[in-house]
Amino acid sequence: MKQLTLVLALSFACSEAKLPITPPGPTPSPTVSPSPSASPVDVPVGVGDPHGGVLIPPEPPPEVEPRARRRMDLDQLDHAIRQVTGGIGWTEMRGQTEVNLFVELAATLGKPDFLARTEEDLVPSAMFQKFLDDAARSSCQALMRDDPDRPTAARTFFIEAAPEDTLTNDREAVEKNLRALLLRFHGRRLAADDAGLEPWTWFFSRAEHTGISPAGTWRAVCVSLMTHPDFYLY
Amino acid sequence: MLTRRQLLKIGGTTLGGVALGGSWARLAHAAASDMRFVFAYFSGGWDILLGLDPRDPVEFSSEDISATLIQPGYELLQNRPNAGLIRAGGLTFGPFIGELTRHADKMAVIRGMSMETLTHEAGRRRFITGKPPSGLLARGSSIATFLASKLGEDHPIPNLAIRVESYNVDQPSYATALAASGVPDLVRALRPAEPKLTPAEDGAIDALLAESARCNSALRSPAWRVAEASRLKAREMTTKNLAGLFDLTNNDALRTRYGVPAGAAGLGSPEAQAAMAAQAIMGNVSRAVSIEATSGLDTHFREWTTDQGPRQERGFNAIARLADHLAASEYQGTGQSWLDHTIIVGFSEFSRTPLINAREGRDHSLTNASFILGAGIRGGVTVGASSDVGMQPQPVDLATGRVDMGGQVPRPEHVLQTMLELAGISGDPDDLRVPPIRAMMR
Repeated sequence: MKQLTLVLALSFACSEAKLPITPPGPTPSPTVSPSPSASPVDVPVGVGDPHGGVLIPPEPPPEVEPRARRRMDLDQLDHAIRQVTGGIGWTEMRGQTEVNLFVELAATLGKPDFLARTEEDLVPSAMFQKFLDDAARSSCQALMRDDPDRPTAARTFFIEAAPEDTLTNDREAVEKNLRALLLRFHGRRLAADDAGLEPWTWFFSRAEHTGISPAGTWRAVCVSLMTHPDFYLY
Repeated sequence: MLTRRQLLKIGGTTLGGVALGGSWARLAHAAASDMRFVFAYFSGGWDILLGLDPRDPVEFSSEDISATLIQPGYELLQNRPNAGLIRAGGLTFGPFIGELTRHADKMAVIRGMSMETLTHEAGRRRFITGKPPSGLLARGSSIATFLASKLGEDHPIPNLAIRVESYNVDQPSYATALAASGVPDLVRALRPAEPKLTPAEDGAIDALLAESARCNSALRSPAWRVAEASRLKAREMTTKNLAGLFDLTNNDALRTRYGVPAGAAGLGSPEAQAAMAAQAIMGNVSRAVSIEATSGLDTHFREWTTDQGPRQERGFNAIARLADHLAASEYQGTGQSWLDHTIIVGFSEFSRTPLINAREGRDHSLTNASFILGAGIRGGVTVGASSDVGMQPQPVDLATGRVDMGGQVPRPEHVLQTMLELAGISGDPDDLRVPPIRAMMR
């Protein structure tokens, strides 16, 4: 029961549900006369209503549908991970050689070889998700190790907070860092009171309640940011 | 115990197709849902004169080439002196059919099939989907995807594809193939995520991603919905300890049974893929498995004389060992074998010209052949024939399998429709628009 209460208390609302929504205006009606206070409309000769009645207002601009999301290809993903981590990729050392696992697994991940396959498979398939998870864990582990030792200006993860910061001991630093990370990883610039931050502060609250260490929480934040569709779908 | 066909026969003759309802329908469905499918792709365009559609070199001699437009060319094969026809179980094969003769009594061969293309991608996608591609783009889901979708999502990886393309354009996401370019990549994909996090960290990540996927922006996005379903599938796969099942590096018995070559290179071999297919089927991991039984068959030049036959034979041998393994393993305590519940189809994108070109190779020919063996197949049956002049496709009576000018020219979709029928899926739900080949159904 206690656990259930905790889960309910910690569950967050979708950020977009809380975004300020412009209430839909009244449906423009072609037969409504402009109010007396409205500015006169210049109408070229011959455009008016042939019956001498009400002028037809100009067509409203077509509603712009958002484009369907698309998955990054492997090169973009490899690049994006290196970009957000400050150069850390998904690699493995084999003896003295550093192997890029995105290159090694390219065929399985659907990259074209231009022999049997001429276009990249961009479905976010189970295979893609598994290896994205591996890539995120691997690069985040390295990032957690390396980033605190970088000069402040060169840090890409602990930009506004320290690895030991939590909501309890420094809420402001955690929230500022989360906003910086959401900008870096997802390209979302959020104000301090933006509802989009809520899932991530909720994540921190949950981590504290479930006894995850501060370092473990930041590592999990890193993996979540990288495996979140806002990172690899655009 | 009644077989599925017996049940269908009862339904068709006494109860009528429409009246087959209630418990009868459930029984019939249960039988059909016991089927597994293996698609064995011979990559590059096989020379059917060396395997599935041979000609007697005495009858089709070099002197008569101008009349027959067929040149078996067996005397030119550098590694099989005195090559000739091989007969087994009522079927006649070319010199490189290999160990597949052991299963001739459970196998049907379709000949004189038209692929309607000379392009690798188009032929491959035609066979995989049963629909002519639009240009090079597959038009429709793979038949393996369709079967996996109809047979349910109970298995951890309903549809597994190693080195074979797979498409899902209109089926549920659980039916999408887990596609890998080799057995090692598959093993890596099935291992738990690494490096490991604490269970609490895993739980927090999972909760955040799951909550995000329930938001409106996620639900409105088809890509996000697929991504979330795939994420859950990936998590399920990695928690079932399946990697060990496919890890051949420490399974000497399996490597020996299939003749998997030593070393890491062996893990990409046809033998390793056949072993992987057996593990997926008999481990109850998958309902549909696609493998590349062999590759390098696109022999336009002199390598036809050295490589075409042995490469085909290696693929046939791998499939024969898979069939051996399935036939020798009891199906879930029923007294039947796994082969009694599995259909294996062997295909290539097209075949090669019956005349040898000026470079001692063979070019692309749209006349093709295919084999299908296992559950519900009438063994030792040949359906259709390529013509004795130029090996052209010919119409066939689909009920008798004999050449009949009033019949239909066999195409890949006929073979696929037959598989659906054997799986108990009637009424052409995959829109293949052809009837099954009843001549090869028991």
